[in-house]
Amino acid sequence: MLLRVADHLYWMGRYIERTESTARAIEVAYQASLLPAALSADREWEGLLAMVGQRDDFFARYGSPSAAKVLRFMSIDLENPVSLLSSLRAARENGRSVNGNLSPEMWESLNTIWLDLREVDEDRLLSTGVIPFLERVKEGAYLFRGILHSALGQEEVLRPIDLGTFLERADHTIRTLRARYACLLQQGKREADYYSWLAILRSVGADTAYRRLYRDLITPGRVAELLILREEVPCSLHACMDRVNDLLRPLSGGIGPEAVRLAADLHFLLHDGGIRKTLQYHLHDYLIDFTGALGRLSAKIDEGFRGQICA
Amino acid sequence: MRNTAAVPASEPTALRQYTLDEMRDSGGAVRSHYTSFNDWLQTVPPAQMKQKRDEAERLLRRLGITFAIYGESAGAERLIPFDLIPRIIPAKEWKILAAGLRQRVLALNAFLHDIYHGQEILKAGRIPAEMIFSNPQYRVEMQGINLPGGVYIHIAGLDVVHTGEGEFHILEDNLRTPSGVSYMLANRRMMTRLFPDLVRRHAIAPVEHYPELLLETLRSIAPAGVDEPTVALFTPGPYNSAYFEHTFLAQQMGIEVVEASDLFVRDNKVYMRTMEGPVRVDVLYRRIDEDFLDPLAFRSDSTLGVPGLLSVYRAGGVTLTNAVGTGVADDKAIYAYVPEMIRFYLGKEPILKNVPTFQLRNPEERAYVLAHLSELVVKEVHGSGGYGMLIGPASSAKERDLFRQRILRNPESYIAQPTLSLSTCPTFVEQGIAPRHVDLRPFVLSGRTVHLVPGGLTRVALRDGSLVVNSSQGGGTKDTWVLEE
Repeated sequence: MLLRVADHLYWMGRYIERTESTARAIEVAYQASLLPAALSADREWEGLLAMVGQRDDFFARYGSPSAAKVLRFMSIDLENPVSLLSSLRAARENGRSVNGNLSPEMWESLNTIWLDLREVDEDRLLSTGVIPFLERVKEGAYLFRGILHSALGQEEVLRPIDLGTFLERADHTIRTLRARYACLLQQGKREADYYSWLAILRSVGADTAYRRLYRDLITPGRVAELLILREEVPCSLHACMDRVNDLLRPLSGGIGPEAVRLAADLHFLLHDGGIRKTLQYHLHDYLIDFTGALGRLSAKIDEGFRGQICA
Repeated sequence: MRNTAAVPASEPTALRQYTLDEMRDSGGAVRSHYTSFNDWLQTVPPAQMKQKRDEAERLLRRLGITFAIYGESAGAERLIPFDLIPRIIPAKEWKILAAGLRQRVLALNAFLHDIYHGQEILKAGRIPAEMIFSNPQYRVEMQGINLPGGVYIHIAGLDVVHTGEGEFHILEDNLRTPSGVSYMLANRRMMTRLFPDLVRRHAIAPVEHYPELLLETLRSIAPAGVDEPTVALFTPGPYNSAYFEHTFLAQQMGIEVVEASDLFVRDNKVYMRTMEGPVRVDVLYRRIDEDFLDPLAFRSDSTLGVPGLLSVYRAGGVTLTNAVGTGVADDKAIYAYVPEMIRFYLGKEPILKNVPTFQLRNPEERAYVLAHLSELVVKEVHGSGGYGMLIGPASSAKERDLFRQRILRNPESYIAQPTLSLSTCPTFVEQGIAPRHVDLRPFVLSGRTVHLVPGGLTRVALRDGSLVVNSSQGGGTKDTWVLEE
């Protein structure tokens, strides 16, 4: 496979995953905004903007946040680089650049999601309702992923796509943890805590997994453990980095050994014997370190895909 | 020298007055190969046709069968209008066409091999040598180079117009990087999806195996000594208007689409940069003009090319399709000599007609043209895009006088042709179903053997009375059904 093609596939994987996780994050903020005012809805919208790193842009263009404004900005505003439609467009553009390497079904399903959703304007978004719109986004992403994984003889195509998927997923998990870190420490009204902890789980799609694993009340310690260490949960950092490691190793010929080494370092951060203690006393530092290491790994992978192979 | 345009004086006029309709004969009766379609059409309410047309448009968008427009965003991809009414060709007519196309491409290939080697046709005085050597498309770099199988034109797209019962004229030979075959394939898919019952009623010769034949053709002319050739399609990139076609064909053949940045040259071989390291490429199906192929050999400002590619090609380290230097065979002035090539190389009379072309360098032909300026089209040999053209029937006496002066001053710079009448085919337009002019571009593949899928791309001029079928000028396309015997 051509390096340029692998690069496009990797980014296509990242953007599809980003589309889906953004949809989930919007949904969580929206659900929270429907709760009684005592549970402070406004902070939710602002938290969402902070989590995706677009707070300044939003305030510059929209002023103070409101449900309708943030929904528009995060769903269909193509000037916001991390809006749902922007991510979808980027996924489709990357797919279009290599659609000779995708099966017709893959391309058609990706193109169809884009064509369906780009038609949605503000009026339609509000008239069909936000939740049905987000459901359609997620369904589109599931369908596309289903087609990818049911295609035979496509391992070569899947590898870079999956690599993008799991890196992006780890990135979303860690952003969620960092954005909502404060509420992991709070011990306020039992009810309010429950909703904010549940929001973390929902934002990464792990609420069902939590119940199944712990069959007990939601506690902040367990939430952190689940999202960082539990390898049986697909969105945990541990599960994501296991996959990234496996996917990267065979690629070292193409993108160089440095990325493989960085991934192994990250992996070590999750397997270190003292990790439980670290999480108990230095969770915040740990999250910051991990974010930095993940950023370096992403940069190295980009460099590998775009760099010339030394002949 | 033979008069290559030996036309009786009456023919140009006859050509113009008679317009053949693909579906109905001159008495208005439906032709036998259209009866089954016509019966079906009578049962379909117009509203249903409209609905099918909208569905077709949705499908084309979904499949991404669009025309990229340079410099515009993803939202601005255009569709080429697709018409629901097929152009049907009966078996006996296709037989004539196929034989004629095959013959023409064989002769053109022989001509290219000849002028880059022994130049027998020039020595025999059948074509004036200065027409070749003064032609900017003649590539001196190709002189004496032996290509695998001696093939130059691996993929040809010949534009054909149907001018009379069982009579076809070749309008032009596209021998460089002909495009449009993906629309031929997409249109068949569309019709099958939209009107399965209608398709089932007819015995339509299949075209879906075209990519298979193309791959076979490309593999068959790999450089000597390569057993398992690696083939790749060389594209200028996603902003090229035919990019959909590039990826579609590559995907159907299971080969990579490569851009210049994916390729490099080393030790007289071409490599592509892959995840597993450099991989040698043996055959490059180029969809990029030869001017841009190699900045060291042709246009030095080309960012789409691969430095050193031409020298590898000349040394036989890689096969390029179509060959470099084919442009000299599809030039306006050379066109007139294709029948002569057929006689010279194959010793046969041409099956398909050329549009009679008067070379104004010859005194008798010049006399005829000057006497009939009001019925002919006069073209400058090296002019293009309608520049320096006189359209006789639409010209004023003053314009004709001006051209008369020009021709007399510089006769060898001009050719003249009768205005041709393209056949019409019923087409679904806003007002309902009405005749519109069509042409046909069949594709001829030449590797170790010559292949031709039954059909081609039918292009239709959607404006009433218009003869312009080009998609860049608002033309559309139709599915083309060649009926089995």
